[in-house]
Amino acid sequence: MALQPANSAVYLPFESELAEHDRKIREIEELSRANKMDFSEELRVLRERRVDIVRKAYSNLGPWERIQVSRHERRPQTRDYLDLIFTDFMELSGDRMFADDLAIVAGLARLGDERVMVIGQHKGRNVRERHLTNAGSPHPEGYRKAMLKMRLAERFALPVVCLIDTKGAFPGTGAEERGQAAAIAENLRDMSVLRVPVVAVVIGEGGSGGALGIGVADRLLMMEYAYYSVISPEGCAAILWKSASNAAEAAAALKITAGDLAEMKIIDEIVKEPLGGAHQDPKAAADTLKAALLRNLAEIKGLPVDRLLAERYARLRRHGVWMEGAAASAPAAAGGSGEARK
Amino acid sequence: MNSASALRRPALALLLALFCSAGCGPDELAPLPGWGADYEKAAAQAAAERKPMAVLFSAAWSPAAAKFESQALADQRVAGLLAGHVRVRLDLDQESARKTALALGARDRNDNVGAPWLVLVSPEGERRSVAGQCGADHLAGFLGTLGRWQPLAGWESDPAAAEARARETGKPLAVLYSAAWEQEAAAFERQTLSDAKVVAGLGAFTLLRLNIAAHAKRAEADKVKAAPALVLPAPGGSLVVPEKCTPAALLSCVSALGGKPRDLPGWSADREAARKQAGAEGKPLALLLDSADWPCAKFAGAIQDSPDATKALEPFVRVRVDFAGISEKDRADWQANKAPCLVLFDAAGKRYGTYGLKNAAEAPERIAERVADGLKMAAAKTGS
Repeated sequence: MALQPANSAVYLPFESELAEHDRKIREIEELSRANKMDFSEELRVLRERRVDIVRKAYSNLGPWERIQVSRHERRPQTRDYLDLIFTDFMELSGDRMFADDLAIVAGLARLGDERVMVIGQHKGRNVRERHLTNAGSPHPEGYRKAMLKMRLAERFALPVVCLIDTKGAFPGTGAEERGQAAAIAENLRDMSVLRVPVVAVVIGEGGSGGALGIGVADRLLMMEYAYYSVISPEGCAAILWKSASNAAEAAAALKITAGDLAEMKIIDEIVKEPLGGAHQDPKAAADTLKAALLRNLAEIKGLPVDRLLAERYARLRRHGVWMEGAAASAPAAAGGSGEARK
Repeated sequence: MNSASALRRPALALLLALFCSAGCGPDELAPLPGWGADYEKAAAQAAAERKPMAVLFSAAWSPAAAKFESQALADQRVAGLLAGHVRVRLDLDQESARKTALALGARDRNDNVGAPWLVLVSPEGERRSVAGQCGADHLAGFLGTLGRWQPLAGWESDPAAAEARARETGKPLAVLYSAAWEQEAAAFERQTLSDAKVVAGLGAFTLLRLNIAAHAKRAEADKVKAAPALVLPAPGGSLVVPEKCTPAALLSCVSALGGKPRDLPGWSADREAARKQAGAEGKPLALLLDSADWPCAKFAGAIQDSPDATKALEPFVRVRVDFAGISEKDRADWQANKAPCLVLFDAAGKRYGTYGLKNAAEAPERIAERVADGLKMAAAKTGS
């Protein structure tokens, strides 16, 4: 489904000043139309001021505000990026076992001049679409579908691009009965030895095993306002404080923003978003992401398969290693001494 | 035209019609008899007539919603139970319906709404919902649990009248936040508040009972998150008694309110002398930090009234000190940030334990048990 028109704006709680300012702009536009009067100069000033307001609102966002941006209902999703970044997309369906999970979109496409297999999680934009996609929480058949397409890519030596956007894998009874944990675990195992380059991007929410299920990659990128976490802040708060209302505190403690994860070297690159987030200008966000994908693919595409796999393995082994008592910015030591912990 | 082609044409048309209809359900909801489609109008009617409201979120493409409507809602018992409600059905394909669903809390923890979703709203503003397709038996059973908000004997329901009466009689206000659709609230009123001793204890207060949904702002100001909760006035603030409170625990709170420091035989008031005595006799020291408020009276009473705790305190030199009189450094060292507090020291003057009131509604027996256990362990550690 296409992006919503910009005139039906949705504001986040920290955007109250922006909402008020936009209301003023709309009123003047309406007045101008109704009375056929020229307010172009006033509108120009107000629009310039709008940029300052957005800049101010987004200049110092905390982790919780960033998470709100990552969940913005107008934020570009996988199918939007398929339209904006890729060409000649040919969708491939089914897992050859149970059903076609619409939470996972997969298919052959072109990224610039590159032929790639693109796999992404799609949440949907309206109630009906979210019902069909289970709001982007894949079932095991979704993960099996993704792996099937990745094996197809391997057979044809096509690089794989994964777009991650999920709160997590679906934890329902049916999903567990059909082997949700096993499906994700098999993806982790098989993706770690996939003999083609894999670039993954967290475009919105990167929730837990659901994100990891298509996230084992040679390069892991993150959109500036995306988050990537072992648990949602609400889930964490419910466990630690017995109340989801402490989600903001949990978000800060979890270190799940792109900046935090880049510092810990969990991700390789932060993809800059337009001012005010990707939803403000999806085309610009898509252009930046496309450039980042092409650059990263170019870096790994020519590597011999053995080296590609060795580097992927080394990259994964570096995760979760830190020096106790060391400065936060100090690089983590892989396979370190007795002080290093995993 | 020959007969073969004449037959083929309608057959092709039928195939085309079947092909076009396959996989695409109707785009708009057909009207449901007895259910309106205008939420604002329904809400206004419910408010004007003081009637409960039933809001059904549905969608033309949802087989579950169609089944729910044709089976569960069509059931005679369900229809009877919903007869007194203002009924409105909203199409989730409309953005306004989705926003209404979010506002009415018809959403999962990830803010997803789905069809069918039935939300019941009481005239006081309480809400309950049934998500997903369910059978007529389940729905009828659920609707049967939703009673009406009724007055409770002895409790005022008008805040202004209750406050006026409190001023007039000099009896402080006790506010009960309750709900018609909360089973715990009904149980608390039936079991705890109807206990004869509690009724007598609460006689010292002006009693006001409010529906938490209708008085959400006041409840928030009183730091009450859920019903039932009883807010009692207390020095320096208020005491919120949660629903888990037993009659005995509530009674101890009520009777301790406004109480004076209780006499504690066997406890001296000279801290320095007690410290010296403990050192000279090689005994551990129990230091009770308290003040004149009700939590201290409750804590001290709980310890004094418990044979177990009294016995466990026997090996200790006991001293009782006003919390206000101790230094900031001592408070920090003893990890005693508020009264009441029992701080235990060994004969050498080293602190090895601090016990306080876990929460205001903790039962006296539980306080005594906790302190007695701690004292026994402490005594075992020091060999006394």
